[in-house]
Amino acid sequence: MSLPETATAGRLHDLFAEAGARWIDVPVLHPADPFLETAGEDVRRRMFVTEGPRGERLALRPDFTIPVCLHHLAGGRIPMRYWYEGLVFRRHERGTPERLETGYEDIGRIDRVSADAEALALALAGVKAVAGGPVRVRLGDIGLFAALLAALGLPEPWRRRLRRSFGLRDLMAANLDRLASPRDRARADLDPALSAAAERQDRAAVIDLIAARLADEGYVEGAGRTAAEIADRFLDQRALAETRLEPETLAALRSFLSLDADLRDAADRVAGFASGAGVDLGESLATFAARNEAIAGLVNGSRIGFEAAFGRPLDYYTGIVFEIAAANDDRPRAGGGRYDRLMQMLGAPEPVPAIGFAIRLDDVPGACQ
Amino acid sequence: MSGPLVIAIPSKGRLQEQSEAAFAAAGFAVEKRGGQRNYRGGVVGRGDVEIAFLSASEIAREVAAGSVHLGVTGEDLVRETILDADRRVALAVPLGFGHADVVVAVPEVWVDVWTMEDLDDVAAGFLQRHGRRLRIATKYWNLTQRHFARHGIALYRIVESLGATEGAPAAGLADLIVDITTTGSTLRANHLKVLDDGVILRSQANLVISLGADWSTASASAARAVFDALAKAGLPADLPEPARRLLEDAA
Repeated sequence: MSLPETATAGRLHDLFAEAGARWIDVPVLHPADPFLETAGEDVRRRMFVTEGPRGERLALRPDFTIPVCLHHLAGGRIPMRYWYEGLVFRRHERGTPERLETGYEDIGRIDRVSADAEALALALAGVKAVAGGPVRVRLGDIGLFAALLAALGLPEPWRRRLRRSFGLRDLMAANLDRLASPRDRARADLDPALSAAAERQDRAAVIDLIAARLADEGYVEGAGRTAAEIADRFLDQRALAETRLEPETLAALRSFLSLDADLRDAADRVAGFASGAGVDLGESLATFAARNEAIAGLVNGSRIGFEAAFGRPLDYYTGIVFEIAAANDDRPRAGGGRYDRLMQMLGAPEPVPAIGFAIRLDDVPGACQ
Repeated sequence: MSGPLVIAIPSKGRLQEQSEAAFAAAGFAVEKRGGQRNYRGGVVGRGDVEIAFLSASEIAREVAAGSVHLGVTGEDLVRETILDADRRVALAVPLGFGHADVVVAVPEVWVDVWTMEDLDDVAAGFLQRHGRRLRIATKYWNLTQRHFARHGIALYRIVESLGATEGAPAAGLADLIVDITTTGSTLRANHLKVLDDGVILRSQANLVISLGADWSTASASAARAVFDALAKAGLPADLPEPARRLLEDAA
């Protein structure tokens, strides 16, 4: 096991070793595809992509999470904690594109409550060690929000849409407004045969009409969206256009998203909201409460704020998400969260529980600006 | 300082003809020097103006880099190829030709998709259903990324396309495209439709001014002469504050 050969030689080595994490070294140049297919937009559009000797597409690693997950996937998939330190490469509007990061990934551990609490406590200790002084933590939970959407009985397409706007304040507001007053989806330019088939709710006929057009217009078979897929969403959309969100449902969503509490009171506040709104958040609320207690047992003296609307816009996050900032710095020093869906997106046969975070160390002095 | 004013204009096709016509109407007759194959030229009777013939995309780059003072190029290329464009260049004179819209277009047969919001929904389930992201064929990486980010759409992948982009969906190389269109006829011929909110940019050719070029007294005064002459010919300049200050400071 080699130690990092970086300017800081593994600044948080002792902290991570004590947590039972194992040092992992991943190449700087990495096949670009896993990043292009699964990383968040924020990472993808900042990547440096180049070509390898056989024409393969390579990327300077824009983050560590995906390489660590791929390593885990290739290596037998025994539950494991990893830590890393090294340069990541991303284009930024200002400042150097190479930045030193350290971080931690806890992959495969079934006890999510403990894994979440330990990861957050570790991230906090790490930020305190590198930044000094008091820190602020913002914490959200997309799992709780997903549970609320299910408990409110929203149609699946609306759930998907709202889940995707989680953490994006303006988009969420716009989507809630839209769902309160659906638009007219009647299209004058729609093929009359298709309209008639849809009117009759004749799914088979709609599929046939679309399949015929795909063939006529020369679409390669099986390359893109299928006739059935287009037909189903077409029929769904027509049905959705005739319904709208009840005012009480909308009020419940808005009231949940405005919850903002100290983590110690958060479970009570969410429970109070749920009983007021008449919804049952079931397991998710129990897990939320247990996790907050576990966090309180590991962390003291730092203010952790729970914001029900706080999220990080990546579709692989499934639970807790957090950001940690030093009191004297606007930019977050660390960010992380639970990403139980990522391993599957990278090729694991089933979802694998995983949580991790990255801590920004320094902008590398002298690197090209 | 007394270096000449360097103006880059497109080196071929309709854009070259129309650029030269616009300058000619303003009394600036562009001429190639040393024969047709040369890529340098000048303006008849004006020793203080030099012409560089470049491709439209090179022009955007060179104006941004400050190696030419002014250049004729499309706003699409300015927005696409120049990082932080508003700090490095200014669109000084819209020239009224080279009109083209940069649009998001999807197969007409997607009867369930009319807006970016629909596209967002389609993109979201795509990886699970097809084992890959939704693919967008385009040569406009930056314009695409900015437009999609504005609509909160992150779950897609851009595949580079350097020609016949409109054929990519039918060929199975991409699911949709971002491309330029003037009349929409190429899109229709390929059974593609523009989304209701899919117009990313309404572009036209512009005389673009470099904010980072080396502005001498002579080049600044020649530039002002160009702007005045174009204005008299019906193409008024609309110089933003940094560009105006730049020319005043050099005088």
